Amino acid sequence: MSVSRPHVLVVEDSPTMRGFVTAALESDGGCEVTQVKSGFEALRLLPRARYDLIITDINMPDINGLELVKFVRGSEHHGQTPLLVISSDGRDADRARAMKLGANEYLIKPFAADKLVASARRLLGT
Amino acid sequence: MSGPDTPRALDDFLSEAQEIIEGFNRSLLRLDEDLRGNRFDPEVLNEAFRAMHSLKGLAGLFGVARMVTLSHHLESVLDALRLGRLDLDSATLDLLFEAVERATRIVQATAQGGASDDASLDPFIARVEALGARERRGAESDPWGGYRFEESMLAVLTEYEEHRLRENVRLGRSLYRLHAVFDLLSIDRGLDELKARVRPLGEVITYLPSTESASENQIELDVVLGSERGLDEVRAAVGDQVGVTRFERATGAPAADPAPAPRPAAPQPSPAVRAEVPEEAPETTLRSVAQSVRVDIRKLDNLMNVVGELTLVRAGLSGVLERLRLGRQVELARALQQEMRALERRIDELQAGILEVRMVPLGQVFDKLSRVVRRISRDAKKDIRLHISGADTELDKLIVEELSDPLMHVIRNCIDHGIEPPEVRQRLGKPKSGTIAIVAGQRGKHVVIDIEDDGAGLDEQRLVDKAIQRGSLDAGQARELSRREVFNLIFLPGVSTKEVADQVSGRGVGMDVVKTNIARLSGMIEVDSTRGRGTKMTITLPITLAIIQALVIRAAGRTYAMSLNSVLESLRVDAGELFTIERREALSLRGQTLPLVRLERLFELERGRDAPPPGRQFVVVIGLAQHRVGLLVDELVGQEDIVVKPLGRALGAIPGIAGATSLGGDQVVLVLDVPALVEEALGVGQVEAA
Repeated sequence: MSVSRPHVLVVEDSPTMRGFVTAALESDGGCEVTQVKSGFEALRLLPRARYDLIITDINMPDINGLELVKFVRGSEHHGQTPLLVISSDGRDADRARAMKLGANEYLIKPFAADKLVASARRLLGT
Repeated sequence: MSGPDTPRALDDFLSEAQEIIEGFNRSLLRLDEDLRGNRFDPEVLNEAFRAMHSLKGLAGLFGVARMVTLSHHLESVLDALRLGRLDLDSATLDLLFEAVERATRIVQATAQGGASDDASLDPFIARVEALGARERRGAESDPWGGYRFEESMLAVLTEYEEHRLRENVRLGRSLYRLHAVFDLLSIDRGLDELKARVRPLGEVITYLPSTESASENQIELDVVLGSERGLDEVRAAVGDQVGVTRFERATGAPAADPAPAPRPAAPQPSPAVRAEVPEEAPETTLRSVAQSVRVDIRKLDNLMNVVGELTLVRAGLSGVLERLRLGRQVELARALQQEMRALERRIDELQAGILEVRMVPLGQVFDKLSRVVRRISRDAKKDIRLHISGADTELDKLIVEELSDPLMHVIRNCIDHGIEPPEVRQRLGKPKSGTIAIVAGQRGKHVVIDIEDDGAGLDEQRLVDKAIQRGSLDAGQARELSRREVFNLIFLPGVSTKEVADQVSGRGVGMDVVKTNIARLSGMIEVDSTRGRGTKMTITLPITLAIIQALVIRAAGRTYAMSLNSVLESLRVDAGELFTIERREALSLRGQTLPLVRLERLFELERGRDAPPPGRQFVVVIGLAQHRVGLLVDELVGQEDIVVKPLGRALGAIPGIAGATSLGGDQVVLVLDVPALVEEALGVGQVEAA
């Protein structure tokens, strides 16, 4: 057994999309995934756990992905944690803001599982 | 792995897509309502946008190309609407409602495994695009109306939030920053409470989590609120746990950024303490993801069947218990009885649990209805308001599913035949727009749905003429009909079908089909009407069909089961107490005449040889809606929980029989169709049989 599989936090409100991302990362990416459905749930976890990669949607109710990116970048544990933003096309303005706030990469939905895994691997340095 | 290609994943896609579309429809209905009041909640528009945004991502993942195209174009229009670059009007809303139907069709076609061949999607897309072309582009002028917001705040606003902030500035609302501190463990509840307090005050523009948390176990959050209320009022509403500051406009001289709300004093924990925090969080998250599951209703049916079998085992055990008692095995009998009681309780719990899972609110159907009413009334050039109450009334999922067609038809009837055109209504001194009211509610173990319109009412003479013309009754019979019986003619085949099929109820489907469909659900539909005032249809349905408590009776030497839901009481009668009124047997019960039904007459049975001599009989009093009917039986055997099975194709539908069930000891008995018995007693069946 590998000592530490990379731990990924997935923040996404669509259950199907969340399931897809999780399945891809777990089976093909060899990651351990914690999945949450809102920015709030992510806020609750972030100060108490350590993640090697954070993947977030932008368009979510209440706390949106941009706020989450900023929160992550300003947080003590996760200031340097790689951040992958996933969002549907069309909202270019928000995506540019996410990058400006410190996201490392973005993927436009829909994406193939191998593309996601490749991005995750690159960001994790594995 | 459950990637997007497995059938399991496709199911997930279908149900999530369906949920999104239903949510989208609800948002549109709210917007439609708000539009009449000329003031709408921007958040609802944003929800509609988000729905299409999610749908697009989802459809793309599964390669449902038509859905991607549709949702993509709708998303653009909704984006323009929510950003104030396009105005919401009735025509736009019509287009969006049409989109709901098209999206639903695509989901259905995908579920059936084929691409939808809806060739008309392209022209529809062209219409959506034409609408999108009206979008006003260009930057919004006068950035902040004198406010100087911190760059750090503006940077985290989405484009939409930025727009809402501008709108609030433009509308001259005061802007507040609320600062709250939550315990990590209870942030959900704390936040819900804060939201509930803040929402009535105005619009939440954004939530800003603070990165500099004062403590490991707490989280600080700022809420930016736009409100017409004053500072004191906002402070009073949110309570003293929440810091409130108002953003001030710069007056002449550049004003400083509003000071952040004072942070509650909390000791800064040492780094050593921080390092010790255990990574226990994933457990919490797993739970929140798994809070609801989607289940195929057939799986619940299977579970229900197992429960049915369990009740048979229980009945079998009773037999064993009886034999032990007869064999004077008192000790064993007592022990067995005790265990059986425990088993019984658990079976009851299991059964109640499964039933609860099957229940869904009627609102699911009503949402669809609202959309159809909107479209049909427009096509029929009638102005119609739909009032719905009791949408939270719950019914078995299967019944709710089966209910949408009959309800739709009743409503179509109201619009088509009931509500008069606006000019006629005005001439009659009625309000120009007609009203259809749907009122649902639970009464005991039934759900009653009233659909009432304020239209022209039923033309009794026309119903009678039509029935005679169709050969359903002759002129002599027609003269003897009561008012209720005349109204019930509408449920005869051919009577309510229009000669000329029209756009609205033009499918050649009459109210007879509606009645058959409702009857298949063990329900009943009735009609009452006042000429010139309107018509009311009342549908009475059992809450579930999955398992019913039954009364087992014997009549004419045979055993039957009937739903206990509608049994009010049973009494013993002497033959001398019965009398005949209008060629029908009846009984006087507490001063009221109770019409009676004999099963042997209904089913044309010979009286069995072992039947007791008439003279000592029982009457089971049935109550359905406002009707009371007595069923004459020879013997009351007992109560059982039964799972009703259909009779199967070979036997077809037998009037008065709802299905069959097995009682303990391999005994199969017929289950009586209570609504049909009631109708028989009320004389509707007679007309129908003629």
